Amino acid sequence: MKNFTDLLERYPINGTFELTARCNLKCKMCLIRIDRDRMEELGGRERTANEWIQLARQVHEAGTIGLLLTGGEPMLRPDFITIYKEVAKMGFLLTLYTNATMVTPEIMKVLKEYPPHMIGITIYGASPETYENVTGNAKAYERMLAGVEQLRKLPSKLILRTTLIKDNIEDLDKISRWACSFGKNVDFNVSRIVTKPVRGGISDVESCRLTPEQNVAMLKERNMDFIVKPFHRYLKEHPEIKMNQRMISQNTYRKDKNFLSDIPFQIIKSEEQGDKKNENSTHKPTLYGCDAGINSYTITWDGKLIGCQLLGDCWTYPLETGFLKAWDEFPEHVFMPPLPAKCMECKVTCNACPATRLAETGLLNGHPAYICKEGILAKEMEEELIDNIKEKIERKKEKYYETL
Amino acid sequence: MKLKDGYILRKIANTDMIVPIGENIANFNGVISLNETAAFLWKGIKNGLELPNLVETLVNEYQVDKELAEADTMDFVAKLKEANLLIENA
Repeated sequence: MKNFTDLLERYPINGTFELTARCNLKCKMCLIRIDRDRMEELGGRERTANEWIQLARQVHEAGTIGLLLTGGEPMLRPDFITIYKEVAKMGFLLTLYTNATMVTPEIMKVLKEYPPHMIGITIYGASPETYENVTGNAKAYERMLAGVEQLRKLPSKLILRTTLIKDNIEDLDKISRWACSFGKNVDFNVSRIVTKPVRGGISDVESCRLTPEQNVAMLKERNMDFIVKPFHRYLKEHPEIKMNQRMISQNTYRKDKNFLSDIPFQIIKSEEQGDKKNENSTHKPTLYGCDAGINSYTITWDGKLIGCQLLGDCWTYPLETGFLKAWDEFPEHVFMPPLPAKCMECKVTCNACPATRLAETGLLNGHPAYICKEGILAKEMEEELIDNIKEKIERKKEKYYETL
Repeated sequence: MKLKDGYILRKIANTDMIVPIGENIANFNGVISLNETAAFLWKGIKNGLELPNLVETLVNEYQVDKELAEADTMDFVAKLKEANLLIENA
């Protein structure tokens, strides 16, 4: 038995119920999707509506407040309404992830009665052609538009999400403009780093994801956080520079400001580094360098408790032992090996975390070459932009002194 | 005095919270955190207690002066009204 007395106090505050790993779409980049054949190969079975409802009661009792219902496509389940209605009555802060292509009048009826607090809708392109290329289903585009129109009528907070791959990157401007046209009540998130499938997922991510070079070129073009934030930081560090900051910001920002706000840079890595660097500090350790298994968990389609949806290195069985026992025993199963020397010595902030390392390399501490290269290129791009900004400011200063 | 339906008291990591469900999220999409006394009063109202009984139970539970208990109860009820969580004259 390991000693976990030094571990951060653990509360199962946020949960994810992966109601199914099946989907009506066949997205090239999906990390999760499996089909029935693969389910059989993996030896698992989808859990019944009754099992999910019983489990929801247990996690409610255990103190979970944020509950995400996701898939696969959760609406694919014929008993989705049964599960949803019972879970929604219990009093969670409920989030529903969907591709919005299976929104029936029956589903809308129950969603109107018990709207989720938040709905995340994944958008795969801006035309039937792109949907065909990404999801294998051109008709899904129109169905998605109709679904979004329905879901917009709910009082739920809406988040439109897209994952960029080679097949839909040309649609990004269109998707972005469309998403922003809904106004402030609808957020727009973009994921651009796609890892290899996890837990037996059957998609072929490597054939379609952006290369690190494409990824960073897109980043540069979009003038996102890597430009704006360092620029503002530089100005802050040099208060003597009086220049029209707003004017320059407007030049660097693109029209679609929402695009700038939600790219999940650095957060995971900084936490990972937090644990890495604080080995001798008094900070209490986590399990994976983040919230996984500390304040959050995922229950997989086949009823296993894991740290997050991308992890699958170890698990417990909440449906067999009861949720609390499975939650309490989970840390005993986690073994975080030390990071490779290459990563320990590295000064680049990249998107690697135990989950992405596992997805990319099969090891919690593997070196994820794809993410590593993207991080290095992004850093070079950032430095280039900062030099550029510094040069501009120096020129501004020179002009200022000339006028004295 | 009655609490509106669709607001659920939850204990999350040792903190009492109110979670709105159903159409209530159109008015308030988030959680309300309650301190121990507020949660005690919430449960009292939920159980059908009116103001005098609420004050009495508060005095008995926390051994405080009646004046202080009255002031705290009135303050809490005012906050519930302000947040539109209360049906009066129910």
